[in-house]
Amino acid sequence: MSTSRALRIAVADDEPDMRDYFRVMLPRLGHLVVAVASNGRELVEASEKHELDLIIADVRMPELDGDAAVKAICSARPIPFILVSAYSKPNSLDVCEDVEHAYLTKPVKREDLEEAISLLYPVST
Amino acid sequence: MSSELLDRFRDLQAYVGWSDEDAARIESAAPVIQAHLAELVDDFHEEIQQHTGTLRVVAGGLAQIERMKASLGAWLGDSLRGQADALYVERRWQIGLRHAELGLNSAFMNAAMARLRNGVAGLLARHGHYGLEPYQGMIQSFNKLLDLDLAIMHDAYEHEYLRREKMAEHERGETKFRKLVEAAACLVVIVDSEGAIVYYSPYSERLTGYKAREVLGKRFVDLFVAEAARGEVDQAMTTTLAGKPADSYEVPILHRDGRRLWFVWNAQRLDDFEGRLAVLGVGQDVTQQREALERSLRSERLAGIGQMITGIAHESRNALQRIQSCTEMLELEMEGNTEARRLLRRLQAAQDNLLRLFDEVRGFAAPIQLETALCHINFAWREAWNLLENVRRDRQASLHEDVGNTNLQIPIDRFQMTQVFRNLLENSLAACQDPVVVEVVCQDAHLHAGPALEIRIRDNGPGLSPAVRQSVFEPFFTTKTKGTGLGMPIARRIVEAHGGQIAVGNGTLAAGAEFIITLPRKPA
Repeated sequence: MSTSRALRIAVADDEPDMRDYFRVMLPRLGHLVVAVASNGRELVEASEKHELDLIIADVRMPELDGDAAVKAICSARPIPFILVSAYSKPNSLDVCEDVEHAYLTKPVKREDLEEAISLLYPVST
Repeated sequence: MSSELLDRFRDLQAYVGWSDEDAARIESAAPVIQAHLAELVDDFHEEIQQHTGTLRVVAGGLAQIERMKASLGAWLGDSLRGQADALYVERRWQIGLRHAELGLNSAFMNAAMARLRNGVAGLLARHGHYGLEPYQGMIQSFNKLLDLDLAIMHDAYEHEYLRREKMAEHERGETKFRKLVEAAACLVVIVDSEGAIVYYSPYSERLTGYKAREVLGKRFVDLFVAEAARGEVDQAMTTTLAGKPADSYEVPILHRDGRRLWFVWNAQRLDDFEGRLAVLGVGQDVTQQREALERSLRSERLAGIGQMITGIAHESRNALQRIQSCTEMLELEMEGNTEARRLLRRLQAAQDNLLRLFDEVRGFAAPIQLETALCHINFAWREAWNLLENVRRDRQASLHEDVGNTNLQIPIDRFQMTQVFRNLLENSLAACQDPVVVEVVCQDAHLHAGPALEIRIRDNGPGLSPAVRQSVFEPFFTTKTKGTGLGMPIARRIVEAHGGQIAVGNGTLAAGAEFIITLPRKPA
């Protein structure tokens, strides 16, 4: 399963290794990483500056958690998002259920990322 | 006995003032009485025949009455001779004894003696031709003679009566004890000084699965005690035999089907059990309480492990994520380097194993939430068997079901029970050589006094050694080279969450392994 077009993506993770990973891997999957944030607050700021198709954010981050940041962003403008969590059951998260979204449990592999993106942006036939 | 009796008789003679003069009077009157003895005897027995109380015990009919007449005649003849020796006293003793043996009330002896007194007095008055004074002297002497005879008879009667009462009391006590023992919902067993079972209460059969005929004569420890504990139990028996009772001594015993049951024992020495030294043991089945305690301890421990594992899992997932990300990025860097990429794949496999282990441990420690619905449980084991298709591929393995008419519909969480069967069947497939035969046998059972379904899963593998039987449900215990040792503990947690039990059985399929799952028919 793959998506039909290059998506403009903002990523947020407090781990530098993860930020690097998204920077390297997402272009390999055919997408553009337009913003890289290291916490929720930076993500909110980035969403105001860029036109985004997708947000990929870690749940636990300093200053502002990923779920809270996504909620803040989506209250102004709905943007599909993928939340990445170390917990296998993210049911206590406070997110906007009416916006297209997906969860991934760490450790996330390239295939998982690809599949989650294609669920939110399926190939049109 | 005879000399004691004679002494007693002499004492009584002194008490009634028996003298040579009395002996002389009796001797002189003897011919008169002898001449009319038949009259006295007939009169006496006419009286007997008028009393239903006496006739009741004269079971021999007329022939017995004739015998009694003869013995009465002999007794009177004896008395008239006046030779009061040991034999004389012994005969009177026997008469009293006989009355007690026949169950005749002692009042009959008094009444009969009064009848004889009157008879003798009448005979002497009619045929003795004595003056008033000699007649009175004669009557006094006869009264003394008959009083003495009656006293000995009473002595014998009381002696025998008391002996019989004591015996009856003993029997009543024994019956009461036996009823009490037989009604007691515990294991009551008596072993002789060699440890062989000489008594085994009926309820014990329900508790242990063994019939009395299977255990009587066999050594208790050999049959019921696990090998490792036999020395200790033998020692406890020796101490009890030496006179020190065992109080609340806890030791498990083995049920006929191989299950281990916990009993708290009280044991004491019996100095005379049917004439020999023995040990009485009363065992209270505390398996349920103990298992409940173990479950509660386990769940406390698991809650602790659960918290810890959740924390570790979270942190480890972050670390694993970094390893994963770096591995994938490194793989991109290593494009074209076959050897390096091969090593990276091995690294990835090791990382996947680590993740699986974390997931299993977390799954084991996490609280089990059941979604119970009424299901046919055979679907669960069939599904588990199908899920193992990959493992069974290229193997000769078959699953047989023997469920008879048993109702297999039972409230279960089908998904979780499938997991239980999967773990069991996976173990069988790992342990058995081809051709693997797994058998599932169902029957109705009872659990905690309620209706239950018993499912036995047997295989034709090498079976479980005593050490494995002991530890099979312990977390992280495994006989496989690649296994977390959590499959069976998880199975037990799931079964117990259903209010059921899982235990190791004896197995019948060529001595393979057997597990017995018992699930309540009503939701837990």
